[in-house]
Amino acid sequence: MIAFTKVSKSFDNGGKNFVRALNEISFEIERKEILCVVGPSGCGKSTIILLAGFIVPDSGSITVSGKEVAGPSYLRTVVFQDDALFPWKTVKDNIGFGLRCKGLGSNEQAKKIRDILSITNLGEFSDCYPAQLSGGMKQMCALGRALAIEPEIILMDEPFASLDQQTRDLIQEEFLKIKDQIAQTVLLVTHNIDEAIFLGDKILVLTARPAQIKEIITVPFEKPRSPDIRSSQEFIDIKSRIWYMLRNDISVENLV
Amino acid sequence: MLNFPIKRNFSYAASIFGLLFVWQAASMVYHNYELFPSPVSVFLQLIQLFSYQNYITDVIASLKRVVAGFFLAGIMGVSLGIITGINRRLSYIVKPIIELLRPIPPIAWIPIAILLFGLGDLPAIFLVFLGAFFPIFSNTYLGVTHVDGRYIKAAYSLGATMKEIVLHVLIPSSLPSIFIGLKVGLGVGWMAVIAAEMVGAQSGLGYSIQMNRLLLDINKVVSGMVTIGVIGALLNLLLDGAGRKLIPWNRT
Repeated sequence: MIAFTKVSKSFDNGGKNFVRALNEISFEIERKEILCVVGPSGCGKSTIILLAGFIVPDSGSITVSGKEVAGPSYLRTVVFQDDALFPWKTVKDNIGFGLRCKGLGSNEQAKKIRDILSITNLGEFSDCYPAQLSGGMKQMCALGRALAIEPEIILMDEPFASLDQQTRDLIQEEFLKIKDQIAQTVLLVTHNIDEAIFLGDKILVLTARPAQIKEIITVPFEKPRSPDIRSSQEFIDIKSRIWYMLRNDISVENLV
Repeated sequence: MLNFPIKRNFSYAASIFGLLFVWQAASMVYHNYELFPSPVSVFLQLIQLFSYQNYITDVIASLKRVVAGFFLAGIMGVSLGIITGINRRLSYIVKPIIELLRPIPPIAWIPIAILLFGLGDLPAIFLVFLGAFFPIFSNTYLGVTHVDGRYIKAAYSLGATMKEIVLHVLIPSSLPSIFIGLKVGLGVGWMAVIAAEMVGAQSGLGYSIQMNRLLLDINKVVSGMVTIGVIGALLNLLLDGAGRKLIPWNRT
């Protein structure tokens, strides 16, 4: 459904800082699939999200349902690391923003907002401002805002990275439950291997800069998944396999 | 922190009483009530002044001019600030003009204002406008040009058009900054009206102070100053209240 074909991207920050972020990346995401992208820190993972429309690749093509990507669109909505909720809008107005842009009538908007509030468990906070929510609730609201407009794909850039470990585990479980209900296609970039295995149908492992595809792993666990799989031998095996792939690419130079 | 507001109000009151106490003590030491009136005599004078129709007319005249000039400056400063903040090419034309005119204090405009508008309400309104416009424009412009890029990206990826970005992202996210501009503008406008009235008007608090200066009635001069201070502070409180209503997400 979404296809990256030989996509390359470099950044040129005033001549001296020429950075090759992506080098001939090709992969596909099937409809309703969650594809997680992991890679060494600073390898250009987030560039994949930017290519959803904010920036143009140097070469190669990105297509969604066969159509070339050009410019940002609500069909490929982004959930950012630090929620990016509008601080001046309440929870329900944040969720309703995309619907309003889509030109939905107020009754349809209200109905959709109610649905989203109930699947994200934010019903009693509908009139709160983002500043009044906890980190986990903010991220749920940002996810709800993206879900409301029913995009073709949701692009998530380290969406749970700013949360503490406990909240993070819980919200991952919550995210899978919601995903089961609404059957969305998701591209999720993370540096957290556990997260990638727990959430992903497939995992794309990238090399250090310029990022190339090291391997695409199909995660064997059936959905719905129980949190117990986190401690299963199979989970641990996949984790050490990915970690082994990554650590070859993580050198001290790359960390600086 | 339940007792915080009580504590705060108490320190406000204590601070004002402290100021009055120092003033009273200083005037007693100076011991010439004709030249350095005490707060008590000013207070009594104020009660007397407010029983005169003339004084109330002066207060209302000044307020009317401030409100008119401030209103004009608010409408023009905010809309021009937003438009130049959005349109970079326009900002290249508008900004240099603004930066050249801004350092000229409203008082320096008085001769021109009187030549243009004669004596009365208009030159004073014009000066209030000049004083209030620049801080309002600058803060609005600053707010619009410093919007966090994440919000704009998020809005685009939710399907927003330019119009929705302006109405739902740029303007609301600049409101706190616009409000700072309005507060500063109102303060400067209030100062400008007094200056204008001291030179080019036949009514208003500035005119009243000027008259009493010529009559060497320092008690009334100081009463006028106190009136100006208190009304200025009240206007500021009023705007703060409006700000809290209009910007409920901004709790700082």
